[in-house]
Amino acid sequence: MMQMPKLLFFLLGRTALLVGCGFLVPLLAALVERSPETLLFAMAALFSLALGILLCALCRHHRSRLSIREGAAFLLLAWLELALLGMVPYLASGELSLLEAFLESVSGFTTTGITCLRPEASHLLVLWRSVSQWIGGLNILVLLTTVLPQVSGCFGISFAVQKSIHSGQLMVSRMERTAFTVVRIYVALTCIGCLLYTLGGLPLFDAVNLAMVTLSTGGCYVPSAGGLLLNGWLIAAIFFGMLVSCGNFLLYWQSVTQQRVHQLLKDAELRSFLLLILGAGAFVSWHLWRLGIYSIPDSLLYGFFHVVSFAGTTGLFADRIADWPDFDKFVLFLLPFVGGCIGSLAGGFKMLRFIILGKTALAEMSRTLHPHMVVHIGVDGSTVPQKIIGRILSFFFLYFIAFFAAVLVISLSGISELESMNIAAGCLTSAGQLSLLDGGPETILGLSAAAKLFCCFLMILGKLEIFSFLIVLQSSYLQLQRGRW
Amino acid sequence: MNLQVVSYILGRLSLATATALLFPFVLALARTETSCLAFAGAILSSILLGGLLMTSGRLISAKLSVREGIAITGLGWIMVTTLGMLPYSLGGYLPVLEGIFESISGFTGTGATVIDSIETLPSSILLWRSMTHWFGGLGIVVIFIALLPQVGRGAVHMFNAESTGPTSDRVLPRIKATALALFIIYVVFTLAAWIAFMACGLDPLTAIDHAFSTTATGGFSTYDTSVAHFNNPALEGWMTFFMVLCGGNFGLYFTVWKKGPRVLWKNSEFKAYLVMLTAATLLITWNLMDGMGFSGTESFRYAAFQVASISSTTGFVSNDFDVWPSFSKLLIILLMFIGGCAGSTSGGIKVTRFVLLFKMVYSILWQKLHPQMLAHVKMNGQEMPENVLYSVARFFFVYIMLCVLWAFLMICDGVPALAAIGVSVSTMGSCGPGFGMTGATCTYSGLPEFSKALTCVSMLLGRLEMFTLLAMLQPAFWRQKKGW
Repeated sequence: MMQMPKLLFFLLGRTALLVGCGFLVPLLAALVERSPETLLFAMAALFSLALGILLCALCRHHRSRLSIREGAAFLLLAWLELALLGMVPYLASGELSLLEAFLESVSGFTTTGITCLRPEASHLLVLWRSVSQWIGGLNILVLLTTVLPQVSGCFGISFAVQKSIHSGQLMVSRMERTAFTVVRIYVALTCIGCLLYTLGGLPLFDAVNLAMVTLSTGGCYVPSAGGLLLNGWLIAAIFFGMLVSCGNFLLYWQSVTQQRVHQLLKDAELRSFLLLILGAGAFVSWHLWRLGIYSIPDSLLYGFFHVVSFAGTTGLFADRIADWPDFDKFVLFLLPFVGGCIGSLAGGFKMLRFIILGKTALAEMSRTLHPHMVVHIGVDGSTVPQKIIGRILSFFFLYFIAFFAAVLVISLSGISELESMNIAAGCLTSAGQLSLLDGGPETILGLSAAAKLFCCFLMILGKLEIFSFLIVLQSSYLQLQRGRW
Repeated sequence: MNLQVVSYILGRLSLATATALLFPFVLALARTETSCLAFAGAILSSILLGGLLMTSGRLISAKLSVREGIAITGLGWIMVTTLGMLPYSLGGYLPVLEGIFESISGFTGTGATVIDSIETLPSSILLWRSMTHWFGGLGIVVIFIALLPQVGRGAVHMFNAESTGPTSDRVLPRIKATALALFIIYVVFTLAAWIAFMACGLDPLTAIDHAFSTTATGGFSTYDTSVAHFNNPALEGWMTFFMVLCGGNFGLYFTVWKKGPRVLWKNSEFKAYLVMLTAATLLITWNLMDGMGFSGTESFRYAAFQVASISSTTGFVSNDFDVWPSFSKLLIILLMFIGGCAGSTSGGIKVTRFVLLFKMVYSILWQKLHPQMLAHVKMNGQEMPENVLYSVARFFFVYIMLCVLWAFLMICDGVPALAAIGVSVSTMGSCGPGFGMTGATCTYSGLPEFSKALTCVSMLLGRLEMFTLLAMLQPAFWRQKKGW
């Protein structure tokens, strides 16, 4: 008889508590405005909190270690739980149908940024959407510092964080400590962002929303007043917010705790990422200017803004990018696959892995001449073990297969090849606004119910880094085979 | 590196090309076509170049090293494709860049053409187009090793630099015997295809053109509308059979010949290949019935032919797949990526690499769940060494990255996105047709100049599995003295 995985439920209870606390934000806003939606959010908050407390209380006496199987299952269940709890307000307000509410909620928590809400929807729901993106970002950070390294850390995460987190069995006490530190940084950054946006001239409501969606790389928010590009100050602030969210949070933590902020810029991954943004931004700006779409300052502004926004899988956009030339759209399509530094909130394959793979590819050229040569690949002065390189290589394959399979399934709903590629890439890398590159918001809304569900699955799959999902599949298959269930 | 040996062997290769050019020359003479002058010029240039290279180099009995092997194969391909374009350009049929494109497309077995009206060309030129397929299909160097005596010891490095697949296994201990065995199988297949096509009602010349094109998994046809021109189910059936056959491993066929057909069912790659073909055919059949309103048999006929044609990277077209539903088109792109089996005449990443990569992912999964267990990756009952696995995964990465790079550059050059993606995948996999402006019923003539040059590079890299040519880009490669 299998033991009840009490720890798993305990952790799920905590996740529910997190959502419950999240509901307090729109609840507070509703109370201040005396809006009729107070009851709705109060109910949702109460339900989540109750569930959380119940689970935590019931499974108080748990083991202090999380096995790999439980870890993988937790990753999957946590996202599902977040999505299910988070869809309550959309559903209860009657704005969205069941499926749309689920899609909205999944897309919010996975920081994808696809939205089904009409522009004229209640601003409290919009606030909740931003809060859900922010909580999603928080959850990513918590998982990243706790469960992920153990479950799919073999793909380079462990290598990247080995200095800050010791690998091995997971202890709950350490989970709490690590998570708490990173979360503090996240909260601090959001507050700073909020402050900067207010100084930039946005009303408080807009500033709070925008800070939450930029720092979490969700990117699904359009300020009501006058768009994103009000003045130079605000643009710089948004730019900065998006950039910060694609950096390595573990590195931030390290440089804050060790008080060596200047070390940040010595990080090879961050440097290459900045270089990539610089290169891609310059390329896109030049192309936009050459085709005469914008004037020089405008093309620089729009070029760099969108490059940063998509490279960090945030997906904020300031202009109708669907009208852009194919080349710039293709660059924007490719960038989310890179998707920020390892240990950031951004989705995608991650810069560090690309650096390692790029270096191995170059080394392979000289290996053709000297077949018995031993090649060392170093990042930041430490050698990457051959085993990790091999695993990152297979992860690349896994990513490609997952992407292509997703494109095939989505194309079954009868949309064009490019649209299905955009949607699949958007869901998998959590840069959902890619679906707006060809066609508009109606592309996603017009998908069949099955395709929409599949998109939800893809978004969660992207957040699980695919491999964790395979672990869940494989271990449940083994359980099934042994007849334990 | 020993440049003298390289020069000598390249000289002989050039003479061999001159011999190959004799066939269309004789045909041109017999039919008194205007192209005979062009062929005479091409033969003369090849002989001159060959003589020059042979006198400037000399065959020392020193063993060829990896570098010389790579240099001979890489430079040999560039030289032969350049000589191969002479008939097109000297005869005034194509400008220089287009001529080179057509020649590279021929030798690499891609089958993409820049000629908008093929049917107006003289039959000798058409024969030469198909012949370039045939020589490039099995490999210029393999045929060269098989037919010409004594190319120096260490020919194995030349062989390895050209052969496709993660490991180049020899079916016979001696490299010359291996090459000869492969060549004989190749000739037998070609003859069988020729007879079969003639039995389907093609005249001998058209039949041999298509037989060359089919067994080399090239894709040049002598008609603008490709195989759709014949509208002949029996012919399509035979073509499907031969394309599937030639997408399989020739070394395996040799073993079948020696040990009986049971070997086939023990080969993981061949099984995976057949499963892939069946699955893709069924999916596309279903999708065509659903999306295009074809009847069941019609859908199956088109689907089976197109799947065989694309997965063996031939590129024949029996129905304009550019208007098919997007699911079928995307599946076709995936098949272009995968390609045929290792050691076949087809291109692409190869089925065996995909099988290995899937097994590799599975072994990581297994290892994660059972940390105490040793996870091996086995192929055909043999354990694969880790460095082979890693090099397969590296190959995959570089392949995908190059495809993305070509697409990126072509879109920058002004090609529409889907067409550019199609062209880059199609030419890297030496397949041929793409989508949109380079689609099934169109040619590559509408591409901008820069993109055309790019596709030439892409086709050569794809055919020689990248690293042969990429290794030649390093300055260290050309250094005369060995480092140690």
